[in-house]
Amino acid sequence: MGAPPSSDGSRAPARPLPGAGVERRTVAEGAGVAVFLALALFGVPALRNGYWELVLQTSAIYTIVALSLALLLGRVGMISLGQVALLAIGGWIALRLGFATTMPFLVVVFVTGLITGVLGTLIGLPALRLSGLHLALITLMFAAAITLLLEATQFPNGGGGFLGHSVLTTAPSVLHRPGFASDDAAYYRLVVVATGLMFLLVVAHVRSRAGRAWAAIRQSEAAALAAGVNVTLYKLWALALASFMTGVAGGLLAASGGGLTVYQFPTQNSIILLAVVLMGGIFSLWGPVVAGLLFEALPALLRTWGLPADLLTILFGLGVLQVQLTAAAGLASQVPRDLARLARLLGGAMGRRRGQELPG
Amino acid sequence: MLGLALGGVFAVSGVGMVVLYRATGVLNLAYGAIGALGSLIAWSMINVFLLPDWLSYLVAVVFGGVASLLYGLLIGPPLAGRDPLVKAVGTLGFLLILLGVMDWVWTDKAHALILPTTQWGFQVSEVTVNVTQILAVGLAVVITAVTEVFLRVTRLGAAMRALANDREATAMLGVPVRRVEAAAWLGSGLIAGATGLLLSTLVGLDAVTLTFLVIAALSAALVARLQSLPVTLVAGFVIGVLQSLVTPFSLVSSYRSITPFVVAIVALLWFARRRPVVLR
Amino acid sequence: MLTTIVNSARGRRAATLLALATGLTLLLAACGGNGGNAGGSSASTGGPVSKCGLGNGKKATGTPVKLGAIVTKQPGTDFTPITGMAQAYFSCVNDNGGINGRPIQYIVDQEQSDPQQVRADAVDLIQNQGILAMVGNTSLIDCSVNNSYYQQQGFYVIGASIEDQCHTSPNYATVNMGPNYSTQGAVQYVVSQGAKKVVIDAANVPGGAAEVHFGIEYAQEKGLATHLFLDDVPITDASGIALRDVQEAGPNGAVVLNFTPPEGLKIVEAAEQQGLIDRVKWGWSTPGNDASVAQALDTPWNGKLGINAELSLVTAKGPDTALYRQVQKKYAPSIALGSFSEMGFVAAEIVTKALLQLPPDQLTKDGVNTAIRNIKDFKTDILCKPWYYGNLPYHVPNNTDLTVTPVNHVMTQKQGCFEIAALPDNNLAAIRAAEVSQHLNTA
Repeated sequence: MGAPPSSDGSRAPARPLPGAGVERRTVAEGAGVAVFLALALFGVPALRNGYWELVLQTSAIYTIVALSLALLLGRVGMISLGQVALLAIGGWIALRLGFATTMPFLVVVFVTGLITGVLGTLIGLPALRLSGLHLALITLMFAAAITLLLEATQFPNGGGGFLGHSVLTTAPSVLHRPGFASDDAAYYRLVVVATGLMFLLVVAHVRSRAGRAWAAIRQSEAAALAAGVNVTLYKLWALALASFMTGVAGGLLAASGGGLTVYQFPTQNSIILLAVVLMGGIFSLWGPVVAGLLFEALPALLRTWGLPADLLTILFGLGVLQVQLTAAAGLASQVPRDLARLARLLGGAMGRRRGQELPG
Repeated sequence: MLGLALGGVFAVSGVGMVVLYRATGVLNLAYGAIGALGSLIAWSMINVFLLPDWLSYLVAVVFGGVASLLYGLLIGPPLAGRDPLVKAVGTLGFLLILLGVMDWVWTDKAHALILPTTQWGFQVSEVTVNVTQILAVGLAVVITAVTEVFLRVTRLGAAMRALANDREATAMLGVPVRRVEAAAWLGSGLIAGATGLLLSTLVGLDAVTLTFLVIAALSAALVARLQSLPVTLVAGFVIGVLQSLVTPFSLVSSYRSITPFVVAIVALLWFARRRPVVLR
Repeated sequence: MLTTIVNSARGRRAATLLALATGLTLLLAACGGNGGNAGGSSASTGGPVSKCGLGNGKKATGTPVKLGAIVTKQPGTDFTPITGMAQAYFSCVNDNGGINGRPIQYIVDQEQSDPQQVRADAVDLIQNQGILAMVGNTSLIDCSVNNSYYQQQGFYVIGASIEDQCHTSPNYATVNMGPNYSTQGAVQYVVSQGAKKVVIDAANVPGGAAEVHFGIEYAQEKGLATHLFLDDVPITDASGIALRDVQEAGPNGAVVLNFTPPEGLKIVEAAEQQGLIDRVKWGWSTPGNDASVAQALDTPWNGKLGINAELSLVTAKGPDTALYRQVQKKYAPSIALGSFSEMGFVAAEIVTKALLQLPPDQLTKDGVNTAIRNIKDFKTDILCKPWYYGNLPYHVPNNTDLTVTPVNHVMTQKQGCFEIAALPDNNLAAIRAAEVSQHLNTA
């Protein structure tokens, strides 16, 4: 136990640390992002398949949540087992604002993000002293408590009082979509753009002072403190940013599909989200994209194949164990690396080896 | 009385988890899932294969021990030197696997497992008390006492306590670390199996409920800082009774289930109050 | 180190596979068992038996006629017996000539109260799978989430209802009357037994309070005190809940439950354990009419739990009920006999009859949905009165029902068919007027 291990649930991989990688984005990678975005924005609606559009819309929203968890876990080294509960809180706030005010949709979503950001920071404040296992436990307890609390309060649906819930309406609560994105295809594009903006926000932060401070905290809190990094401030900053993004995701979810019910946020979803984020990879920015797809699109794929979704729960469990056992960097890093290695093998191993062996 | 019974189960679960945590540094979050799967197996043995009840209950308890031991033997050693968080997240993976298997094989269909002891009851003023409830309370006290004595008196127990303090040093002193850890996994798993049976009778046989109820039971162990068995016992009873006490008040009745989580959060924050950043 | 890790990971996977294999065997064993002949000509003992579809014993081949359904299945709420029994009836139809030679393919999507998923499922079934009709839909949220989509696509759904929204749409008609009307029926029963105060205890699911408010309204119209409790499901503290309910009801009071069988059973069993059976009158809405409930309740309960039944007793003599039992025995032995599976059976029977009357070139989305909308005067001994779809802004075609009670582990009829009373809020006055003016069930 000599070197201070990270408290994020996974050993740091033997490769350049987060932050640095973002700056060395090659042109090829930039082009990859552009192609991916173009496909997501125009390719998917062009298929004119309403089902997959809806599924990918939800995937994109959960990608934002996965991004917030990956930010905490991979960049700062803080674990959260309550991110889906926070998403539900975001949805609650968005619906409350939507029913109580006449603010335009985008403003509602933005203000929801701000309020969730403040709430998330307030909740995280006392937990700042906790780390590792205890932080994991308190966030898990928090998730369980929120799930039960929501079952008692339900989502606002235009009723009176602070809770804004009328027991006489049984329907799920829906946030009104903006006029320019009222149909499914347009709303899907809006969600993709919002998801892209969240990624930009994270990239901007990671490349700034905050990103360097987080990297220092992640390496060693004590060393960061000694180096003059304001650990408390930057931890709170990370919490606020992650909660803001989760809140925005909650707002987007409230207006998607058929609205929200308290039943779609069970405690195990917070655990499954952690599982898919670990499987997707917490160091690469592609990780959350993979995680969002694993979380929402893979179950849909299994359903269309007629396979039971329970198999996925088992798969995710195995995935968590695999990541914990091999300290793997996740699919988003592993698959390209394995492909690259395959390419090198095929190419007669002429390129110089770059010392990127599997850690472990 | 149900409060005490539920508290007893919280306490037993807490004790099982604390023993394992002290010996191996693993907080087994799949603890409830292990018990639930054992109970479902017992249900199938009784209702599908028409086997005798006692055999099914025995298998449920043994299954708990075996499943826990298998995990301990396969996943335990490679993670041994890692952060407690990594070990705990590993058990979350185990939890998901077990939950998936239960949902898939037994589906969400209703199952009921009523221990024969539930039929034997007697009247105490207003309410009827049944033997299962007494069993839960008694088991909590007995298991806590036996485990505490075991840890203090026997050589294996001493080895477990030593492991809790320093794994490397204990290994150097010639204690067969792996065997001691295996014993802890087995023992804690057996308790998990028994707890699962009690819980299925007291609150119903449902995979998801049982899996996460024991995460609620973790609150008892947390109040005891994952260290003291007697404190775990008392905390379990207090939480169980507290939850029961609020049930008759309709105003807060809907919120009663969050009692253990609130207790756990308060306890965690209270302990964090005077502890600086932990570097381990 | 690396090898150890790989080995142990593989070991773990092998162990999982083994566990899965064992589990699968258990599952198969549970689903096994066959026998009984359904849909054939040879009737079993005791009275006439209807036939499945054409009833000609010929296996249907050719292009399938696709039907779809969305059904809730989540911890504490499982409506799959409804679609499971509909599937069983369709299998029987396919073994008996199908839809004029074409087999029915029934695609069922299970959902967990996730509106995004329920919305996507409807789009998938209608646009990607190309189903011709929605039959047997039973979901906590489908009616409200997809109502506008069904209207836009011209689909006329035959389902079973949970939410009120299923009864306030021109595009949704159900074979049952739903918990709101059914709880009113259970309240009407306990009031007829002389209850002076009515405590309603319902599941805390989305709209849990809304789905029992006709019951409260009825009791209040009769000048009785009422109290409503909502409890989280799955129930973890049944004893405390049973005691609380009885104490709130007081002497001469009544407790009316609105839970699915496993959850409500926890409460009534806890009441028995604590000796609370005779302290109040007990009522339960339709879900309680399940063989598992009769099986589980001991003799102290004999005749003391009035369960509202929207459909005939599963042991009744009629030819359709007899066919229902045969089909269950042959095609779905793992599904319990009870209200839920009866609903699936009736829904499947209704749509099959409509499909059989269509000329082959009318077996299209529009043709089938028009035929469904024109259904009137569908007679079956499983319902008190004939069923209809009709051109109405809201549908409660099943609005007359009975009360049953467990006696010696068997569900027994306690009260014959009675009308659910019209209330200012429950649309029944207008619906009964339309039944007469449109000749919907009075041919």
